[in-house]
Amino acid sequence: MKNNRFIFIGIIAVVALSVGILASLLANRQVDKRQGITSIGGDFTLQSSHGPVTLSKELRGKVVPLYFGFASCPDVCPTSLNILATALRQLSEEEQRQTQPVFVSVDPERDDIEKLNLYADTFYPGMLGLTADLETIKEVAWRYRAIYKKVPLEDSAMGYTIDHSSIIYVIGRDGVIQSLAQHGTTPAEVTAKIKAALSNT
Amino acid sequence: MKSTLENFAFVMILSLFPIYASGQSTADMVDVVEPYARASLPGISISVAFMALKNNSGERRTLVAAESPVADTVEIHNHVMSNGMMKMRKVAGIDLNADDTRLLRPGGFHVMLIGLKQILKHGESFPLELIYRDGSRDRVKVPVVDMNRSERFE
Ligand SMILES: [Cu+2]
Repeated sequence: MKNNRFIFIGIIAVVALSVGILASLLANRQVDKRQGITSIGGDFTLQSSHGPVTLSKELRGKVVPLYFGFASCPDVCPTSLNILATALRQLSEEEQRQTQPVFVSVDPERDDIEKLNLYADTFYPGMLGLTADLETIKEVAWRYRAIYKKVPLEDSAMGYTIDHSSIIYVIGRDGVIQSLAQHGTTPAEVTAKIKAALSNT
Repeated sequence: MKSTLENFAFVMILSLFPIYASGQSTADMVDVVEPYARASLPGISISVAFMALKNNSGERRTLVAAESPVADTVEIHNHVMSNGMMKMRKVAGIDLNADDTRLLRPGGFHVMLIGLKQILKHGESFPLELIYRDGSRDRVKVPVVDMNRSERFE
C-alpha cells in the first residue's frame, strides 16, 4: 500500500515536472518569423500503408499539419481531425496541394497501418495515417513534446485508453514547426496558421 | 414510479405523436434534447453519442447506465483535461439536480458505444435506453450524424 503511494507520488512528480518543462519550452520558445519553433520537433520516419514516410524526404516542400492520437479515441481525436479537415477545406486548391496533413497513431498495438490509412482518409482525402513500433513513436512524440500515457480502464469494456495531449503542429516546408494549435482551437484559427506557414518561404 | 403496464400504455400512446419519434424523451420527466451519435469510422468498433439532459422531474435524478441493441456495451464517460492531456474515464453516473440541464458534448460527458454490432450510417437512427439510479428507463431514438456533414464546434 505504502509502496503504491510512493509510486503514485513519483508519477505525479514526473508528470508535473514534464508539464513544467513543456510549459517553459513553449513560453520561452524563440518564434523567429523565418525559423519557426526550433526547440521542438524535427525529422522522423514513420510507416504508412504505402511504405515508410520521412518528413525530410516525401513530405519536404509541403506544409504538414500533424496530430498525435489513436484511432479508437472516440471523441477528442475525431473532433480535432474534423477541425483540421474543415480548416483544410477553407484553403484554395493550390494551397491544399501544397499541404499534407498527417495523423500519427501512438497506439500501434490497436492501429495497424491499413486501418490508419482508411481512418485518416475518412476525415480528409489524402490525409496520411502513420505509426511505427512503440519505441520509435515514443522517441518522435518526445521530440514533439506530445505527451501520452496508456491507462488501463479496469471498470470499462474499453480495456485501456490513452491519455494524450491534443495539439495540431503546423510544420513548415523545411520541416521546422511554424506554429501550434492547442486543444479547443477552431477551423478558422488552423486555416490561418496553415496559410501563414504556406506563405513563409 | 409508474407500474410497467402504465409505462407501457403511456409510451404506446405517446408513440402515436411525432414528438416521441423525433427523439424527444417523455418518460420520467427527463427530456433528452437533440441526441445524436457519430457515424462509425471504418474499422473502428466504437462510437459516441451526445445529447442534452433536461431534468423536469422536480427531483434529483442520476443517469447511471445505458443500453442499446447496436453495441455490446454502453458506458457513461467523461473527459477531463489535466496535465496537458485529455483523459477519458468511465463515470459512475451523471447527477441531474431538479431543473438541471446537463450537456453531453464533445470533449466532456458522452455515452460511449463499445463493440458496435453494426455500422452507424449517417441518416439512420438507433434506439438507446438511458437507465437512472431508481431503475427507471428512458428510451430514445438517436439519429446518426456524419461529422463531415455537420459538426457542431463547441
Ligand atoms: Cu468514452
